[in-house]
Amino acid sequence: MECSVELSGVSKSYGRIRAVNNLSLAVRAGEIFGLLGPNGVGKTTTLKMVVGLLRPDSGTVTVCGKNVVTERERALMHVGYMPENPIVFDNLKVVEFFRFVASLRSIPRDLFQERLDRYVSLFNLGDELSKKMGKLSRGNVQKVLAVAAFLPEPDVLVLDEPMSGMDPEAQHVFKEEVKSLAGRGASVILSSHQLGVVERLCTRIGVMYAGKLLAEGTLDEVKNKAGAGADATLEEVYLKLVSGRG
Amino acid sequence: MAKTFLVVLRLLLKNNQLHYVIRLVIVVTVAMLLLQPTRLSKPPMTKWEAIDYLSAAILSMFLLSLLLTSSERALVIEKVAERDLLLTQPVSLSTYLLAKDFYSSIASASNIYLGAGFSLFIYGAGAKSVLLFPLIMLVELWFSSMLGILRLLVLARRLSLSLLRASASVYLVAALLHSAGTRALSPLLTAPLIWVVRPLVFSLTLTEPWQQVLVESLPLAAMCVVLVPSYAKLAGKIVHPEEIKHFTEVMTESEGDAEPELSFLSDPRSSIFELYLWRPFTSKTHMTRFVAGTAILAVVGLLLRFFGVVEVIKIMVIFEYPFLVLIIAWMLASAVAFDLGPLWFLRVNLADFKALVAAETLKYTVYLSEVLVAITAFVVALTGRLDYLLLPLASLPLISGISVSSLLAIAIIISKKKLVRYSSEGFTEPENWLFGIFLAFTVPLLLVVELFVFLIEERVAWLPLYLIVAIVVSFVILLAGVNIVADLLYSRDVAS
Repeated sequence: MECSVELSGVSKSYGRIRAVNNLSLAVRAGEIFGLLGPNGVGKTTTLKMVVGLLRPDSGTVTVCGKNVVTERERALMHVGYMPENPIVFDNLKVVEFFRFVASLRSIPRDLFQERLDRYVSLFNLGDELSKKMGKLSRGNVQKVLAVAAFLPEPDVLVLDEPMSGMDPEAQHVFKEEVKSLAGRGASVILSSHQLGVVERLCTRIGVMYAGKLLAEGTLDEVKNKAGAGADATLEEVYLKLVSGRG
Repeated sequence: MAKTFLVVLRLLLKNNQLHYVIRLVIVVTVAMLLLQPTRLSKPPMTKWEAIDYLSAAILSMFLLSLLLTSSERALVIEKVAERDLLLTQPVSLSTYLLAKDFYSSIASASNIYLGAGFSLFIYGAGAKSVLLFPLIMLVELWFSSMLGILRLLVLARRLSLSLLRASASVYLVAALLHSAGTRALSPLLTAPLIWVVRPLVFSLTLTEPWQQVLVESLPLAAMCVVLVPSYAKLAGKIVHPEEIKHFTEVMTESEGDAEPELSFLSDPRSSIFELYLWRPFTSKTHMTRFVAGTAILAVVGLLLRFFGVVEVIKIMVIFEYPFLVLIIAWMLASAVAFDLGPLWFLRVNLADFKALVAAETLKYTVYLSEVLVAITAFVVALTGRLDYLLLPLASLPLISGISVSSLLAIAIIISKKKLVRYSSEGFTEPENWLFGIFLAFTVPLLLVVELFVFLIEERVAWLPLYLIVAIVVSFVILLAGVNIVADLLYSRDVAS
């Protein structure tokens, strides 16, 4: 199923602080959208609204054409999510956690086992399966959460700093899996400060500042909007857009 | 060092205000109940009996604490922030423990002091009591540092744990057998600590002069001057702050491997119930603790009945137990908040929130009911009154009210703020206050339990009607509560 994510005039405030300000954005099927911006400009808030963890004060968020607030189940049944620095089930063994994911997502037993074997092998998690999640290193928690997000083979993947703490091998596997999923028609939103990764992985980029998109488009389009040369790296473009705004 | 000591002491006092207030309320209430002439036809006990009972109680607690001492190389703390403070700030473990010892003593001594002072204000006492009662702080300091030193010596392998446990067991059994043989508290239980307790009791009496109280307190004070700094210094040498463990870590480690493994279930509702409800209750450790705790309380009840100490204890337990339930509810909030920590995951993965909240409410209810079953075993053994077996059933409105209020408070808190992992309650101090306010709403339900006790004591024929109403009210509270909390968790923002 081909799915898109659309945010239309979305705003969200925490008390007097406006985290997201009238944001409109669309991520189409097969796209990997990189969301960039300094700390505290509303990236995580935006992603949390996409996955229904926060309600927008105004505007609408739709996933696969379903409103995330009013038709949450129908919208989120297509979504995989990796949050930044999350609280996990410390007392569950890794394999129990995967079973729990499969149960909540109604993945049939055979299919679950097949996918689990593949991802465990890819992310080199064989030795971690019988360990409690609370005992894992930060990088291994990220790998486990990545597998949990991939297990249902979602049509929409929402990733908030997904590779922090992952070893280079796991980062490589992770990027390949994201590309493969997008290649099969999934839409991916990725928030990251690793500009090199975003530059190589993402098909479109958005730079946020003060709850709004400063620039959005393919890398070349963003370069044009920033007034940067054709040879400029994403880092140079980003700095040009963001610096001096504080 | 003196400055650091004062800074840590101030921090501890500031960060534990709510616990202090709750303890104070409990102490004042118990003091009022115990000393009400309308409840007791004669004073609960003479000063000599008080000295004997207190000496025996403190010694028994000391011996039981030795029996429960583990060989683990760790000091147990209530808040993870304590370990962080020791690891990141220039505060030595010795200074910290010294300050913590003083904080604990000040907190409990002032609670008891105010509680007793309040009662004495009503029933009359000399100025001596008001001025000298803080001596109880010395007893607390002596107890904790003496026990602490023995535990540290075990940790450092300078003392054999099995020898310590065997000695404590032999002494306790001998004292109990002797008491049983003479049908009175054995001197083996009363004599060793009589010198600790005498000044404490005499500080409340009218006949003993204050000079005598002061003189009799001097040996205890001298011991504290030696023991407390020695304990702190020894701890600084033997334990590294990294080895300090939070009590939930210790409990999780001891329970962890005994829990049955979560199986693959195709039905999402069943997997939620298995994870949140069945797994914790079917663990071997949990079952063992529940059965052993209930059995021990029943035996203690029988022993007290044997010695004829029924009326005072019965009044204390029956009127104090709802407070105990409230305190345990508070402690359980940590476990429930811990369960709901990964709320982001449950929301994104479309967990059934009614099933989740039903499982959590039942978990809360069952835990509290277990506490009540243990208390009931004690009361029935103590009084020989089988009608008290209905106590857990009669308390259902209170238990369901507490379960729902607690979950409601947790749901509101976690929609606003990320939980503090491993804190004693999962909350910061302001959140603790909010949680306390929610629990306060359940206080009127304490009257329901009082009504049951009245019906039992007066042998009124309305008991069956009461029980039917109690069960119906509990179901209504649980059903309405599950819907409200599930709706909150499903629809509100998630901070974690």
